[in-house]
Amino acid sequence: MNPQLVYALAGAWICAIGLRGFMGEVDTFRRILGANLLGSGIFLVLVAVARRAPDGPPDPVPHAMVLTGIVVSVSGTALLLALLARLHEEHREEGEGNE
Amino acid sequence: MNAGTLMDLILPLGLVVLAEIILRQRRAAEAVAQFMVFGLLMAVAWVRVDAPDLALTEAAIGSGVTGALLLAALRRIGPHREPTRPLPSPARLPVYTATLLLGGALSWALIELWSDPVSLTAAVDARLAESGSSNPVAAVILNFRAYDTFLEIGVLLLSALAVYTLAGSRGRRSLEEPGPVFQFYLSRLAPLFAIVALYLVWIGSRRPGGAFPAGALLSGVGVLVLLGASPWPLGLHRKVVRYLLVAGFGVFLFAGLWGGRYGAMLTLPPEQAKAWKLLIELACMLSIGFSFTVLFACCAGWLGDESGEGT
Repeated sequence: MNPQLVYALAGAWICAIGLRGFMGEVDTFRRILGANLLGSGIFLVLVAVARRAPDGPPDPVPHAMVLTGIVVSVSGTALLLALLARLHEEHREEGEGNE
Repeated sequence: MNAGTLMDLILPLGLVVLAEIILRQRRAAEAVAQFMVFGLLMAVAWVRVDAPDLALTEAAIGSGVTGALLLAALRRIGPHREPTRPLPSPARLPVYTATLLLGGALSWALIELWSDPVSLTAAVDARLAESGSSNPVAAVILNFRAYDTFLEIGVLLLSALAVYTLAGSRGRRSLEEPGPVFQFYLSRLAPLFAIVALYLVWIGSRRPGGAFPAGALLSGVGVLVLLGASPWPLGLHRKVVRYLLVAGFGVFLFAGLWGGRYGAMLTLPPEQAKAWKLLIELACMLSIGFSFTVLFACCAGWLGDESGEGT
């Protein structure tokens, strides 16, 4: 089995674990971690797929997609975290109001 | 079996195991620390599959910036986090089924794919001369698939605006005064990092580099300057903040419309491609660096609207 396929398969199972975290966790913060793992798995699959041809340079198109994807993934994570933090602050204020 | 082959077995396996460990971690801060380790190991894996330039970006943005964001948000959420409780049992079966289906289907698809390798390398190389850069990845990002990159900068802008708006009306949180050693090194290193970022953009047309690693570097400088309790860069006038956030998207949009005169949107004539590419990359570098700084400051709760009049 060639080594690039091993990396791609690892990426596939990291995707699966990330999906489990995204859907199967109750804590929102952990869900965000799961979504990030899912993204990392997809990137690993793409990077490994770019190296499928045994000789010559790697395919630049999947590389460009990954480079684009990294920035989008961080933007999305930041937005989710900002929403989560704001939600906690609103809850805290409500809690203080009741006491 | 040599060391390289052994590593190509242990590293992928280790990544899968670590992903599982991260989600099983009881304390969130430990999970984040392990997530950052995961990102760095991921970068090593990318070096093993011949993507060293992507590995640099992943280490800087994917692991570094994401880790900083996660830790900053965690600190702000603080002790009021929801307790971790297990998923109710009726929901477990569909979740695990979906997980196994995804993993199995992807594995099967990948094994099938491998028997018939298709590569776009030849197609990219054939028209590389028209793109204005000799680095094929840069050519794809800024010319052949410029549309993706344009939308990506749009997503970044949208996210920065949304997070900026969500920052709340609590006002700026005061930071501790940093020590003199930190300030001494910061004042000397920050300009140096800025020069390195410019160099990365310049070299990006020929070698690995470009706006993304450069922007990541700038955002690192931005976060360090923030930690130095300096009012810059967030103390800048609101208008300047907005211009810096919009710069990448704006220049890209203008270049796209300019290209419209030569045919379709975002097509650049080969003789002008290099100049446009450099201009777009410089603007994107500024926007990426500044957006990540703003995202971090907002997630940490350091940036708020003091007057409460809205942004």
